[in-house]
Order: sequence, then structure tokens, then C-alpha cells
Amino acid sequence: MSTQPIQIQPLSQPVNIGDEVASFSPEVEAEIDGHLAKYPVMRSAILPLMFIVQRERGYLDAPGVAYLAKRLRLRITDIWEVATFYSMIYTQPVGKYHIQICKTLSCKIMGEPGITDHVCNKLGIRLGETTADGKFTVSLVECLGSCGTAPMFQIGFDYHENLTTEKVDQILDGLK
Amino acid sequence: MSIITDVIQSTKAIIQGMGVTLSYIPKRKWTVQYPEEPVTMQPRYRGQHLLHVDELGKEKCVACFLCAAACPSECIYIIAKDDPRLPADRIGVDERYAEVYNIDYGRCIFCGYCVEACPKDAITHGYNFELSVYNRADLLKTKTDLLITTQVQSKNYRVAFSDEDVDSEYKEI
Amino acid sequence: MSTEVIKVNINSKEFEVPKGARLIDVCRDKGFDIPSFCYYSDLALQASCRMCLVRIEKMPKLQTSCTIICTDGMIVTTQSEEIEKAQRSMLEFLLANHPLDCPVCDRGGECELQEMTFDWGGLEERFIEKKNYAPEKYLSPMVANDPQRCILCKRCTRVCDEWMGEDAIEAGGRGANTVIGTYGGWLDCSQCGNCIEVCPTGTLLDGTYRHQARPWELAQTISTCSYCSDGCEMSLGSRAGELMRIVARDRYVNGHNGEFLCIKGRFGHPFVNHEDRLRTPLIRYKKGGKLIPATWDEAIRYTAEKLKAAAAAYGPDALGVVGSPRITNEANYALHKFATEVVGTKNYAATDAFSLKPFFDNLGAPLATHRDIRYAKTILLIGGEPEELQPLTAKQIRQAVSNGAAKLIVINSVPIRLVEHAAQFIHIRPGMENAAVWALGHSSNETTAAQKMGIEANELSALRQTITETEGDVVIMFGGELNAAAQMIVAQLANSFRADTRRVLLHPLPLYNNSVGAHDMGMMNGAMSVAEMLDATGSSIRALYVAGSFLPEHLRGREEALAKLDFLAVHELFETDTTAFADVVLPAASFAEIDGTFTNNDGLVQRVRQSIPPVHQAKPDWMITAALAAELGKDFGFQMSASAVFREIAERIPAYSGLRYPVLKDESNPVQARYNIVEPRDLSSALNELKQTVAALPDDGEKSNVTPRVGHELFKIGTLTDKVSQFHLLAAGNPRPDTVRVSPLYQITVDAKLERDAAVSGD
Repeated sequence: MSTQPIQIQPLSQPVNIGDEVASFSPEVEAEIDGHLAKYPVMRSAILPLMFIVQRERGYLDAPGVAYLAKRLRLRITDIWEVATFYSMIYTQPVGKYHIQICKTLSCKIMGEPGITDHVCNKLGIRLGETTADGKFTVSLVECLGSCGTAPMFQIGFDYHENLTTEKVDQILDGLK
Repeated sequence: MSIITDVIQSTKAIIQGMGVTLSYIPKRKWTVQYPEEPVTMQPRYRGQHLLHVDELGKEKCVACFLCAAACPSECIYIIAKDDPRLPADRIGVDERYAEVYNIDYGRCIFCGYCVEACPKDAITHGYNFELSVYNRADLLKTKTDLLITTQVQSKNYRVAFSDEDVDSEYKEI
Repeated sequence: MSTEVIKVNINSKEFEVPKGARLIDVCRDKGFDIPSFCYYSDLALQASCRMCLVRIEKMPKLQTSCTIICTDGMIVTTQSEEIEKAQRSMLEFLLANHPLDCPVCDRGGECELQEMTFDWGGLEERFIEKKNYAPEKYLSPMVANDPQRCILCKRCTRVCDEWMGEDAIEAGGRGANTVIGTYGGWLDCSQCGNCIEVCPTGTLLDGTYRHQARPWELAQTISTCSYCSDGCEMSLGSRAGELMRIVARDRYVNGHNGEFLCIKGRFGHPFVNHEDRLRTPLIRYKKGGKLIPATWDEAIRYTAEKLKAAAAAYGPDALGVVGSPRITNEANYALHKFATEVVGTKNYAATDAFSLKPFFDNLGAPLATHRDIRYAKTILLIGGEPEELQPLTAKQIRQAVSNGAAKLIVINSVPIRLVEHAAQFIHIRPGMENAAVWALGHSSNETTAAQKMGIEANELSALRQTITETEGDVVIMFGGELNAAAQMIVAQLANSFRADTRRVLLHPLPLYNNSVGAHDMGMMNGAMSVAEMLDATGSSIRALYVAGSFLPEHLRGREEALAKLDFLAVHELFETDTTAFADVVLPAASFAEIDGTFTNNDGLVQRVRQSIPPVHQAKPDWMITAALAAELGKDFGFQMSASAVFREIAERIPAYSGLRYPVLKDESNPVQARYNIVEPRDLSSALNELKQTVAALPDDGEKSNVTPRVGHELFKIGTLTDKVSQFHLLAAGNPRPDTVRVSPLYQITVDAKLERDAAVSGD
């Protein structure tokens, strides 16, 4: 067991909201309108819209959240509530390569802690942090549904399975 | 009854009495020459209260008022205050401390309930027993009088530290 | 709830309960104790704490009684080894991440989790894992937050959503890392503090009474709020002559507002023990001189002498007596009696923003209580802005709409926040509220009025249709925008909409705690209004005797009016713009220091109880007036007893007949004053008068499309809220401090003077 107390992140950190509202190109707006047209209740479109904003802006920054609240006629706290629930929605900037290590049972049994330590040591960052060059972010996520090939992580949308420390080195070196 | 029997019985009683008195002369004396000599206090003696500080010198008391609530003679008066500063600058260990902590020794019955009630082990009974004052109002002791770092200790006592020192009355036989 | 009765068997006893009753309520009602955290009556169900588990026969698992509606023949067990084991395990889980810092926590002593742990908790904790840790912080100047104490019952988020309609606080993250918070970590809301009130643990705490006292040391006194006209019942917690805090917690008080209070009621009390309170009577012996402290005897003697001299020189009508909608019925009654029986002047009034006299004189239907509003089926709101000026009324409207499927129709020139709950919003041009009433008064006026108001004519007929189709209560509310003729028509509107299927109830929205009471005591019956009196100073008005102060809007443009008086005597708590001209200032006692009654906008006569002895040399207003009357040779016979004053009120004022303090004792059974409901009146003259008013209105006014900012009225700095440092932060736009770990008050200082200029009619 670690001796450090677990600190809840990043929710306790104040974010400056400001008055700025994000704006998007007409193509993106059209895509958003398409999603909005699909749902009878407007707020149901919150997830597809979040993915679009995240795709365009890298993560859900304050202007992006303000934009979503305006489009969906929700309050910013409603957006925040949904955004913090999903590990795929980022409320903080992430690196170019987001390494999401599965921490659920099968992977944990098959050596996830060792892999996590190795990745962190190799990149010189702690969980949830981004490297100084903005390339890598490491975080733990719940089951990614690849239990048969545990331990595994995903980088972006690519799965890397049956991980060993050597394999991790190989993958990470390939990305650098 | 004749006078002779009277005299004999009186003499007998005096001799008996003096026998007890004389037998004590060579024995160890219990009288202490206070204040020239220090008094020996028993380890569990309940004297004037002490408010403790932790190893960093921060006051342990968080002004939870449980001592005041437990006090049967209602002699403890506290004013709690919020300490909004960061831990290093605080007076106490937590963000709440006692701005005023008064015990009225005119009312205190030294029952020790406050010590029992304290969840932070911040208050205990000390050994200071010289509480007499010339003015009744001086019986009200403030935080300065109670805090372990500032309480003026009397030089006139020592605390019993071994079994031999402890009063025979309490000794296990 | 229907009147049909079904049979339920609880712990082998048969009970008859109304159909549709909730199991947890029934069990508690019948005396079976069921623990719960997340269940809160009249809020959306959550069923997350799993403490209210019961065994229902033929159901496979233990059921949460808060989500079960009783059915006929249901067999329920509330106590068994199995249930107790489940509840004890649940509590162990709830405590898994809860820190044991009860000695520091402000909730200690009145914490539901603490109490539940005494009943259901184990002797020791079996979890040895590290607890989640997050530092204590502030969410706003009013709300302190310790995330790790949270048990995720989500009462706060539901209250914020359903009561306040603000959604300012939500649960973020997931699983064991879920925390209650807000985007950006800073609360931008109306700061009502209801999340603090309903929190069963010490997660959300009062940031203004932080770490100051423990609940068991506070003497709890049930009293009535002294800010708006909703008259929330609340509990004043005082210690050693100091008012420490105000709460509406169920365990102390059970008024018509439940646990609801707004920012002013909950946090606006530090003025009571403020160092700026007047300490002694003050006399200005020479015009333009200084106010010099004096004894009570001297001040009363001096005032009586001056009033007598003015009456002798110019006649009694040159003396004006001014009451206040902020002081008790007793005080206003004494002033009225003083004006009519001692001085014999016909010039008396109360410093209210508008008079409700035309409304009450033509009252055609009973007043709606806040309970009626909650269960109403249609609510018509003409003008006003209850979410800022009468927050409890706004809460009841929101609940009627979202929990009771009521239809809300808003007629306003501004899209106020309640519009988002409205079924119909009639967006009129500014200042056209009178035209709307004129159109409601007679359907033939609709076309002209619609044109004037800048709306479609069918909007008004749709409104009419909604009301005439309603089955259930219709509540008509109106703000201060209406003139006398319009008030008369609204008061009589009930006659045109009443039917067998519905009641029509009226609900005025005056601004001050005792606006209705000041009217009832007759302070509005004088020959002149306050503004007219101020205009007449120096000519027909030579001396004024004022309780409280003039409102800023009364004095605006009449800055010199008070200087023209020969003599001005004022009762006040603080030095104000009015006392600056006073010849005698008498220190009055605040609401926390006196016994008395307020009458709220429901017509409920509510008790104000003494919580602390009067500070310094202050005296209750009625006592000062009685002393002055005695000096002028008239014994009021009150004998220093507020109940004697009230007995006389009950004897002399028909609406209050039969009332006594013991009758008003129980705040859970409020007593409504019996207002005289008049026969239907002929409204043609009022309609004609209104027609001319409407015709004179310019019809090119620009409609505002901007919803006013939250708190634009609530956070205004007035004489009383000026004494709360946190209000200055809110009035300055609630800036976020550098760190949320330290109280904003220690980090940001706001120049109070800058903010004062913006106040128009704040408290």
C-alpha cells in the first residue's frame, strides 16, 4: 500500500472560466447540428458534442464548456458533471500520446502495477501527468474489454496487448 | 471509687499515651517542611490544568467545547476561532483553535471529566496546586496561565516517580 | 393524493393509509423509526444511501422504503436481524472515507451521520486502507466545503436544482472519487445556503459562522425573518447575548418554509451585534450641531417638549408620524395610536415602497399561503421578481411547476429567471403591467392593450383559456408595479375566474417583512403618503416622528426635505441618511431583541421572539412610543408587555380578532389573519381610470431581452446587509480569490464605499 494519501484530482483545482465562448468552422457546426437533430431531448446530444469539441480543441477547455452549455441550453455544472464522469473526456490538456492503462481485475492480476511503474519511470512522470514536451500522458482507466490479453493499455485508440516491460520499451521508443 | 484507683488509672493512661508518642519519635516523619522543602505529588494528582502543544509547538486544543460540555460545575469558558491560514502559520494543529480558554478555579471541582472528554488529549491535570490568591477574581485562569509553554510552575513540589515514593495509603500490599 | 384508503401491514400490525402514500413516510408516521440520509420529502428520489431498507413480502431482496409506494395488502417488516445487519454494513461503507474530525467539524453535535453512527455504527472501524483525502476549501464567501466528509446523498444538488432552479452545485467524477463541487471550483449562484442546511454531514458548512461555536451551546429561539415579505420561520442561535447564526433546521423549527432560507435570512444577521449600533439616545440641541449622547429620560422629555411646541405653534396636523414596514405590528400599532390618539394628526404613513391599501380594501378572494402555491395548478405572475425579492415564493412556484406540474404564466417586461419554468411568458413593454391588468379586467380591452404592450392579442386569450380550463387552485400574484386602480382590479379578478372546479387565490408581493402588517395596523390610512409628507416639509409638515428610516428612493431628489423640518425624531439601529438630519435619535432594538409579530404576504401572523437582550441601551419601538405618549400625558396601558399590545391589536383590528400570543405559539400551525372579503364591486370606474393611465403610456418602449444576473437585487448593499462583509464580496461580483483554501474575506478587500452608491432600495 502506498504511503501517500490519495488526493482527488483534478476537481479540486479551480479553473478560470472567463467569458470566452469557443467558435467552430461551418463544417463542424453542421456536424453538431446533425447530432442535435438526432435526439428529441437536446441534452441527450451531450456526449457526441463533447467528443467533437475535444477533437477540435484538444480537451474540454473553458471556452469549449461555455460553448456546449450555450448550444445544449445547460448550465456549466451539468457539462462538468458529465465530463468528469468519463475517462475519455479530458478536462485537462493531454499529451499527443495518451497512454491509458487498464487497471481492472484481469490486468491487475497479470501485472498492471509493474507496467504502470515502468511506464511512469520511463517517462519520468506520475499518474495523471503529462511529460514536459507535451508528448505523453499516463492515466489509469477501467476495463477496456481485452481481458484475454491482459495486461494491456491503449494509446489513442490503438490497443497494445500482452504487455511486458520489454514490449513497453519497444512501443514507447517507437513513438519518441 | 477511691482517689487511689483514679490516680493509678490516669497514670496508666498517660504512660500508654506517651508510649505511642515516644514510639513515633525514632520513626520516619511524614510532615514536610513546606515551603522550605518540596511536596511530593502523587502521579495521578489532579492539580491545575495544562493545555498541551504538539511536537511542533502547535496547540493541540481545537476548541471543540467537549470539556465545557462535560464540566459539571460549568467553569470552562471557550471562544473558538477560525484560523484561515495555511497549516504552517497556524496557532493550533487544525484550522480551529481556542481564542479564549478560561477556567474558573473558584468553581472547578477537579473531577477530571474535562480530561476524560478531550478527544485531542489537549487538556490534562498538571501538578500545580498552589492556587490560592488574594483576590477572588484572580481564580479565573486564562489561556496563558494554562498553556504548558507559559504556565508558571511552582518550585515547591516534586512528582513521585517510583513505587517507594507513592503514598502508603495507595500502595498495594 | 387520493382519499382512497388501503391496508398495509407493518411489523404484523394493520394500518389504513391513503393510496399513493410513500412507505417511508407511513412507517415514520406510525412510529417505526427508519434511518435515512438521502431521502428528503418533496425532493426527487435518490435511493443512494440504502439506509431505509425494509423487507417486503414476496419481494426477493430488501427494498429501499423511500422509493416504494404503498399498495393494498403489502406486508412490511422494518426491524429484523437481516435488516439491521444490512444497515450496519451500509453505515460502515459510508464511514469508509469519512474522516474522524468531529471535534473540529462545525456540524458536530447536530450531524445526522454522527447520530446514525451512534445508533447503527460499529464500535470500531474495520477498514485499514487509506481514506480519500481532499483539503478543506471554500466554494464561495458563504459556503465552506470539506469534500472528504461527503457521503454522496446528493441532497444539496437536488435542493439547488429543484428549490432554487440554479443547478450551481453538482456531483463530479465517479465511483469512490465522486465529489460535490462546481465547474471551476467556485460557486456562482444566489448563495442561499440551502445546500448547507440540508447537508447531513459537515461537507457543506456556513462560511460566515465558521468554527465559532458548537450547536449545543447555542440557545435556539424560533423567530421570523426580518427581510422580505415571505416571513420564513427560523431559529436564532445565540450565545451570551450574541446572535451567532440563523438556521431553519427541522430539529429546531418547523415553519411553512421547511428548511428553506435565502441568503439574507441565513447570513444577513451580523448587523444585530454590530459595533456601529447606536448605543444611547442622541440629542442635537442646536440645528447643524452635533448629536450628543443623552439619557433616555432626557431624550424622551426633550422630544415630547419639541413635539408639543410644534403642535402648539402650527396645529397637530403639522406633525407627521412615520411607521415602517420593517418593524413589528406592535410597533406600528403603537405609532398609529400615538398619531391618532395622542397627537391627533391625520398625517401618518409607513415608509413602504408601495401601499397595498387599494388591494386589501377590495379583496375579492382569500390570500394564498405558500402551501397553496406549492399545490396550485395555475400561477399567474404579474410583474415582480420573486426569485430576487421573495425567494420562498419563487421556490414554491418552481416546485409547483417541476414537482406538481402546475402551469406558470409570467407577465413581465424582463425575462426574469422564472421564465424558464413558465408555460407561457407574455413579454410586455416596460411599465405596461397596468395595461396587462386592464386587459385582464375586461376581455373587450384585450386588442388595444395587446397593441400597447407590444404583444399578440391571442397571447392574452391563451392566458384566459389556461385559467378557465384549470381544475384546482389558481394563484394570482402581483408585484409593486401596479397602481391603485390596477390593484383594485386584481383584487376583484377572482370573481371573473372563479368556478366550482377551482379556487382563485391572491398573493401580493410586497417588499418588506411587515408590509402587510403595517397596512393592517392602519399606517397606510393617513392623509398623506411618505413622499407627499417629504414634499410638504417646511410648509404643512413642521415636525416628523419617524420609526426606522426613509427609503433611498423616497429621499432621492428630496435631499433637502428633512433639513426644512423644525424637529425630527428618529428610532434607528444605525446612523443613516435620515438620522443625519435628526434632532433626536433613539436607539431601537432589532428583531432579535424583541417580542412581537410580523404579518407576511400570506397574511400569516407570525411571532418574533426575543433571542438576546437588547444591545446597549436599545429599546423596542413600541416601548419608546409608549414612553413618549406617557410623557405627553397619555398612558397606553401596555405595562411593558408586548402581549398586552397585541391583545389590544386583537381587540381593535377586526382581521386580528381573537388572536393572542398563545394562539400563535406553534409555528407549524400558522394562523392567517381573517381579512374581510368584499362582495363583487363595480369596477367600471377603476377600469376607466386605468384606461386613461394606459392611454397615456408611451407605446414605443424597448423590451429587454436580457435575463437579469443572479443576485442583482439579493446582493444589493443596504443599511443592514452593509454590516455583512461577505455581502460586499458578492456585490462586487463574487470574485474568486487566489486560493480557495483560505476564506475569501482574508484575501480580498472590497471598498465598501464604492458599492454603496449602487444601492437603490436594498435592505
